[in-house]
Amino acid sequence: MNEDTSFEAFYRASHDWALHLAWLLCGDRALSEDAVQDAYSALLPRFADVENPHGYLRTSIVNSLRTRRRRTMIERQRLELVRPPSEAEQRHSELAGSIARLPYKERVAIVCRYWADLPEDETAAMLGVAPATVRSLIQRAIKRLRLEVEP
Amino acid sequence: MMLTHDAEADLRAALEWSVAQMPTSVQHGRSAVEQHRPRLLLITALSAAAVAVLVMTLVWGTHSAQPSRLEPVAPISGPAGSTPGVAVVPTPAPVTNPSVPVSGSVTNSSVLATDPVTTSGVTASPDTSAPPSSVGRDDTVSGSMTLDDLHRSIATFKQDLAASKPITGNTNIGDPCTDSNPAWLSGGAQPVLVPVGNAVDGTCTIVGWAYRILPLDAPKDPESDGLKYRPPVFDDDGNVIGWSGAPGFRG
Repeated sequence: MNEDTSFEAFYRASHDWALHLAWLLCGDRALSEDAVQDAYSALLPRFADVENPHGYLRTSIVNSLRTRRRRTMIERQRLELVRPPSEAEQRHSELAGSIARLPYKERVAIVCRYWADLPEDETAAMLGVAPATVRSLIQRAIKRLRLEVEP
Repeated sequence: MMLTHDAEADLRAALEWSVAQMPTSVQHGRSAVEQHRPRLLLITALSAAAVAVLVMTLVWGTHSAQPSRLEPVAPISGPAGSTPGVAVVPTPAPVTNPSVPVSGSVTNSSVLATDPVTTSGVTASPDTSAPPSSVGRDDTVSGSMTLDDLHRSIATFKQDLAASKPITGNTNIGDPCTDSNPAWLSGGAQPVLVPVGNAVDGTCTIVGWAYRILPLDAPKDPESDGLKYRPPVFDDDGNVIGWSGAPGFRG
């Protein structure tokens, strides 16, 4: 049986993953869907020619959210003023919240490494940096997280 | 959750937990930010006011520190009938641009369906007849459809959207199509549906709809018998900044 290589099959196989990636990078469902939509729309006309559609999709989402994320971050910070987190949220989400507040490149590096399980060179290509820089970003992020979440 | 010596395990667990918190759909799982939008807007307004007061204080302080070089002036003589010494303020020109709110109630989102439905008799602009071709969000697609078909299509779209599944069965298009009875939305907004798909040889294969939510005062297109709104013009952040073809606006 031949493998289905249509755009539809690719969409079905990758959509949830792409949405989760966008969600981890911005924390806003509507914004995530917008970014994923944009990425698929950009990929659609090139789908037959693109060698690595997963990589294309990932890079589109990361780049798209880079420019849209600032407003979301400001809103999140203000949200804590008007709606303090519940006890349950506090217990479970402290680290997730700290990850959400990381500088964008550090967050991308953490998400790609520990959630998407991407090799460093692919993350590096996506961010336009050297693989060594990705390692450095991850180390810096973990150091920052330790300072933030540990008493 | 603390960051223990096994940072990798902690981070993986936190990220998986975060994914599990994602709302299942936009309208059924509004984000905390959306739920608290009015209070956040109030904070934003207060912040802006505080900055404005600070700037004015600084400017005032700078100016008041300078010795005044102004000389007393004679009373101003106005036109006949006016009171001497009172400046005449010209009447501002009437505003021809429609009032367009660009923040607060304006939100946007989108979905993409995957099941292709071929529609004949449809043309795309710009011309995408030469493959490889596509119709994206910024392109226009024109065709004909009945009002019933339009409402049926939008109803299907909304049902699929509510079920958070890929949209199928849309057999007609318009650009932008609008729902005249958006009971599914709150916050005073109207959806605009924009087709996303392929156009080859004058026929259009629709693979889905994208939608954006517009303010209620979006100007209607007078040539559409009230069925359509003027196409919105978005800035780079996805905010509505005007309406294509609206008086005084070049979109």
